Amino acid sequence: MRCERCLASELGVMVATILASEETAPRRSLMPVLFGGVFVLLAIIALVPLITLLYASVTAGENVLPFEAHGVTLSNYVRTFLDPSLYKMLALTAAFAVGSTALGISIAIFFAWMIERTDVRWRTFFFVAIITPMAIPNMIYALAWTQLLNPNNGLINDAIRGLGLDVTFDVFTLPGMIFVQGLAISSHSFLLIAAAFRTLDPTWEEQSAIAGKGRFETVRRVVLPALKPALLAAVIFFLVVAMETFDIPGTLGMTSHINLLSTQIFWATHPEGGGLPDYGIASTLSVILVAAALILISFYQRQVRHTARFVTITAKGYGTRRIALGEWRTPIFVLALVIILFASVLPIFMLIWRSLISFYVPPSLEALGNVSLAAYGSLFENFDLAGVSANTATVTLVAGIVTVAIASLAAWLILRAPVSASLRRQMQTLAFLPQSVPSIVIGFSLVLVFISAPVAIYGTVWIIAAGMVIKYVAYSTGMMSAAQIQVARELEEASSIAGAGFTRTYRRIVLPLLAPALINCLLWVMIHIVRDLSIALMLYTPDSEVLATKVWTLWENGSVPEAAALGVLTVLVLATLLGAGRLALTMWRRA
Amino acid sequence: MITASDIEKRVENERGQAVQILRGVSFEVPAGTIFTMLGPSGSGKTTTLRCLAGLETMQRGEIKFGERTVFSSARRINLPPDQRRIGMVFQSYAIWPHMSVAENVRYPLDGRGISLNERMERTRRGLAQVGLADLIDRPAPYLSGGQQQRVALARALIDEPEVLLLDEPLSNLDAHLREQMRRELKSLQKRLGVTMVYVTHDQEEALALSDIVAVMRDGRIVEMGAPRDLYDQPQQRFTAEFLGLANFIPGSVERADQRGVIVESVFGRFVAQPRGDVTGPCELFFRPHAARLNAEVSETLGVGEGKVTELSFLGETTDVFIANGEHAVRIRVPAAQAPAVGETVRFSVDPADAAAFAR
Repeated sequence: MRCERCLASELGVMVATILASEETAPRRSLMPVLFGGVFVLLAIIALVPLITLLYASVTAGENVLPFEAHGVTLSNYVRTFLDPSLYKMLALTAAFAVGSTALGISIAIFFAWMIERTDVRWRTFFFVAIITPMAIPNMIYALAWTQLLNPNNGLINDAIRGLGLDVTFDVFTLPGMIFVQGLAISSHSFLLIAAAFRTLDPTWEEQSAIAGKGRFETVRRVVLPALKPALLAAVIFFLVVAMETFDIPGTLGMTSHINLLSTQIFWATHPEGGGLPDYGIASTLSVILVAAALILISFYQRQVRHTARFVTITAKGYGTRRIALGEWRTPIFVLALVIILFASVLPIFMLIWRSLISFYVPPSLEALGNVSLAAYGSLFENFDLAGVSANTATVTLVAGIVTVAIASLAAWLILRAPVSASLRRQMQTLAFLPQSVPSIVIGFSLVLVFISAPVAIYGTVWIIAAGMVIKYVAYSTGMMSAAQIQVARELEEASSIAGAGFTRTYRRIVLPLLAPALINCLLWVMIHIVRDLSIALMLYTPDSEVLATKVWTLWENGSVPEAAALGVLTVLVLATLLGAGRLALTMWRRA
Repeated sequence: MITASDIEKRVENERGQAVQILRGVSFEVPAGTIFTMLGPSGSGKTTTLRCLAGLETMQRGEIKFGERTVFSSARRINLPPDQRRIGMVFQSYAIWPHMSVAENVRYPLDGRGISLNERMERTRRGLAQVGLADLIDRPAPYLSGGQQQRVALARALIDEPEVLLLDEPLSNLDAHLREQMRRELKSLQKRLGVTMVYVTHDQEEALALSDIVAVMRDGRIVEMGAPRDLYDQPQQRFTAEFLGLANFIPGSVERADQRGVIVESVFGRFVAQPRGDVTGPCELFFRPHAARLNAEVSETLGVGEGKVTELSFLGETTDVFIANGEHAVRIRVPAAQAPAVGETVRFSVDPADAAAFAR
């Protein structure tokens, strides 16, 4: 426990600095307490997982728990780096991340360009269709794809064979994983990239045309350079996402034993056949993964700062001038339809189909006779759906509200607290640090903390909620900061001048003005908590299962119809959350 | 009465270096007067105002409202804005968009145990004062710029503060409305007797509105005084230049006599008031309207000569540009008296209206 004591004293020093940092005379007694409290909380959230990992990586052994160990050892690093399979795994991870990001961003750019800048038909339909997969958790998306592209009886492979072609696509391979992850990324990155296209001022292009430059020259010298910062930021961000993700490689690589860094961490702690977990290897691999993510995220944050400076948003007249596609209008329309067929229609259809039949038969009119709701009934009877739902609701609500509360306070403090700029910068660094910690690693580090801690929350839903808070505080602080910046400082200052202290100003001015952003952020966090598999998977026990882990265990145990049925239910829950959010926002705006 | 002594403020820039924003600003504002800080952007005028409000914390100095010390670095006093009992109008007006006009104006009275009836009565009176009695229930987003400005003013005055701070309150209005609001503001101030501190970069606004103007540059007050004195008799070159159109002609001081100093310039010989101890090279300053053309020229005043190169017709008056070599002056004359381009003209300046600044 030596390390925890030095962490505690470090935090003590920080608090003392904060309390003494009032620039002249003490202003308000509440402010130092609030700032100090949030600072310590963010420090715990950011540093405990990292310190625990580092500590475990130099103490744990093959069969030794990290906090039982005596003395420091580098044996885990030696074991890891001398194992030749490490380098193959790193190469696979890199190939997976680069491949899926390239595929996903390319599709997203195509759709963003087509929807924002051309006169293609059905633009609204394409907009809805390309973002639809966001309501499907990645594990469930992967599950749907196993039904489409497994080499034995996948629907697409059957269709190809039906055409008499001797080609089989296998989803349980690296290219298969890249393909599925790429489709998922295309949906997630679309909104970001479309936003970048929307900030392009058409007059820039018109000015270039007037200067005598042709369309190609205009794209090369005006459009692409203007988009580059936003595109680069998106690429780096999704590289990190793909590098750390567990859901798709975990689902598809399970049987074929294709392991990436993230999945290897999971299997080291959950050995097949019930062996002893190797916390030493797991923590060492986690340190490698965090280091890689940290480097990429720091590039990303620099890029985003640069982008913010670069893109001056002039919404005036955007979208007024669309490119007339002419003879390309139909080919591009058809290409977009085909992509939508693969990205949304087939996976959703197959998921529903698989949930309705007990033994797989390809969809056909005759097969409709086999359709039944048996899998849904079985979920209630045999798999405690009520308990799982209650757990999910608890985790989602509690973690969602706690995360948004911390994030909105942190955003205000980072931007407005009456303390020195360097203290606010330190708070910002702490708030955004967890962004670099992959979900699987957050889950694992909490396992390490709580198996050794005297607190009896291991195996409860609360530890899963804690993991979710750690994971989503950074993103939420980013979202709330963006909203807080929109609230002109003078609106708060006017309240101060009018005689209101911090509490009244926050309650009567800041909160009402932030309400739409708060609702948005809460929804975003809740949707991601429901989707999140990796944190829950590391931390759940049979008593604390949530929807995501239940789908996983059903799938792992071969109960495919039940897994698909629960997947369908999860998608419905997410769609309802999205709909409820839209409704809440509209009603709030109308009030 | 507001007393500010020796205010100093530093901030940290993005690279973590300390930047001095205010370098010892001191002034006194007698109760019931209008005090204006005038200067270019970055001169520290808004920062000084925000220090008075308590929105910025300074490193050194003292601020007193009457006998109340609201800030003192020596005595470690720093009252937060909500305890300074002031009113303030922001450049952006800072009207809360989620409230109605009444809710905005009433806000300073809320939460202090005043009955809603009384609060509404005072809100009605306050809005009537700024001519907005009809808009009491209107949601804030449905106000025009001028209306927002009046709501902000009503809100700042509702609690009858001793001190009213205004940060470029007219800069977002169009020219016509600006002039009207300026006059209303002045008459409202005289009626209520509130002490007003006003910040602007518009010299015309400062001259028309203020009892005292402080001209600021680089975090310092360059010069302070009544508008008329500053305009006609600037003691600093920066004041002369910033407060309106000015001619500066290079020359040199020949000698002093009882009317001032004799300045020899490329245009001719003039008599001017010396600013400080001026000998040798100097700049002769006078306003365009202070010079007389041709017929009125009198040898005792000092006379210049040059060729008319350009005329600028302004309606009532015409600006005549007169050049001699590479130097030019601008002289404003009634439109009817304008000479023709190419004509050689003579002009004279009264010694009381001319000043010599050391070069």
